[in-house]
Amino acid sequence: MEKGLSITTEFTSGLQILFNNIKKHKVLLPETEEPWTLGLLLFWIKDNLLVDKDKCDLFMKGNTVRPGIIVAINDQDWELLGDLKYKIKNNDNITFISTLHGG
Amino acid sequence: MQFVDVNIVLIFYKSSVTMCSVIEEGAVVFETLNQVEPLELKCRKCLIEDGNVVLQKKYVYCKTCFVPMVTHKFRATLGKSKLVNRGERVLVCVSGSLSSVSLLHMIWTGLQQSTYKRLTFDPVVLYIDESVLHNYPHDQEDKIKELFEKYGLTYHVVKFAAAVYSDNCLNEERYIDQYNDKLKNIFNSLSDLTLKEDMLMKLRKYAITKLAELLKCTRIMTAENEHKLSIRLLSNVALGRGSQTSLDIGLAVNNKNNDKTSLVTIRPMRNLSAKEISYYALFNNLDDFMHSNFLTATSEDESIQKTTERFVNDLQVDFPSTVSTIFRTGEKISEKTSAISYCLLCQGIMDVNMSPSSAMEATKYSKYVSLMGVKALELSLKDVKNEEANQKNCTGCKCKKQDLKEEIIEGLCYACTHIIQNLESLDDLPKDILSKEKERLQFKMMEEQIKDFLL
Repeated sequence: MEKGLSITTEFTSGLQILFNNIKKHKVLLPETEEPWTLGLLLFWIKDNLLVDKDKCDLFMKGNTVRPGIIVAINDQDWELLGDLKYKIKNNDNITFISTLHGG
Repeated sequence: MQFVDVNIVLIFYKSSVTMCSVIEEGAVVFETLNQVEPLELKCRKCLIEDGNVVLQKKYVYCKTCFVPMVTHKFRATLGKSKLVNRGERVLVCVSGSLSSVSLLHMIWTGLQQSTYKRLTFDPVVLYIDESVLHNYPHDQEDKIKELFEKYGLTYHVVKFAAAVYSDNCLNEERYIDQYNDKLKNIFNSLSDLTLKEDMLMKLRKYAITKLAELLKCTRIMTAENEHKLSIRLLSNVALGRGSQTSLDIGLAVNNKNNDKTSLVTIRPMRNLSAKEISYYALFNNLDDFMHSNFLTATSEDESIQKTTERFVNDLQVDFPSTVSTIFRTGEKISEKTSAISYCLLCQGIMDVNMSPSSAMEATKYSKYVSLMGVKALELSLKDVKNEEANQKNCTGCKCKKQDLKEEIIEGLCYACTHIIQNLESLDDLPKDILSKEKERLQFKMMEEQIKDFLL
């Protein structure tokens, strides 16, 4: 019945330069057999949204975000929601905020 | 077991996962990585609402309790300083970063409060447009102006080059291209990222101070947060700016003359963490702007500042109290009170008349030995200086320029000499600095001349 998930991702405080200088991206996640988790989303963002693949290490480190980047889902800290294991729901608003020097 | 802040000594073992701290009795205990405990889901303050933010990996707050908590911290820092008087003109520096946008929002909120809580000073908002050095979107300036209009505060948008070079900073139009070129020249001749960033910091500070005087403001507010200041503290030490630490991270920094008209820089956000500010901005729907510097999107190994940042951030992931520990330790470092000379470029305290065993002298000596080789054994450091001076007395115009550089280096602190040495020409420096140098030289010459008459 439901085809994929429609979510909003937001990149602020300098992170937007990695994403074409656009802060808000409305994206449609394709349907998969496994449920979408935040960990999977990160890789999806890397493959689909990131403009310059060489600069990937400015966003990710290993299988998680680079230290210094804060993740919030619907204004709620991801640490409260199980970090990478959080299961993404329809219409979620996921925000990535960089606290790094100069973005 | 009670940990006392003062006694905590951080030993930075990058590879090890234990952190060593000294407790009250002087015993050393190892703080091991604890298994992550399941977090409380309710806000620790109201105990009713579901939490939204986790601070230091254990304190959970809900939205409604979080914002007042942050505002309170800000007001407490500001209030504690007792530095801002009623009706005083305060220059609020906004770069467009989340921190500075939040600072602006907090001040604006403070001005709207009911009488007894209201902030009573008179803010003047300043945005320095650095678009000449970085690529910003075209509409950035308009958007910033729009934001300032919305708050309804007095504001000024000044081009960086105009602020540095022009006497007529606020509406310089005639020579702006010329000034822009000068500024670009400076940064183009510095090839090292570390120096570039350091120079940018110093020139920014210079520009802000100059504008504050021009706008008749007696207080300056900048929006550095705890995180940024800790990183600055460590990289300052690495850059050889250790003696200037308190100037660069302190709550309130006074310029030399300690009277009522002196210019004081206040950092009211210094007790807030980067995370607190990020969520404050998120909950208040504050938009930030591009605020690049030379380190933006560069590799972490290219500059001291960026390497330090990674180091702090990586530690912070596993040890959430890293930043505050560094910061509290740095706070205890105070400025030498008996400073006699200040650096021409950064206005920092200079280490003069150091004992022969100081690090400063050791660096000088090591440089001298590497230059002189075996001869070093025969001559002492002073003799070399004389010899050099003799060599320089030759005629010819080429020496003269080199001379000026060396003269100016005498008036600079250790870290700033590195910047100047890398500059191709001194002509691009702001003329205030050059004229101050001339003044200093004349004074020195005069002293030399009357030396024999002094008792």
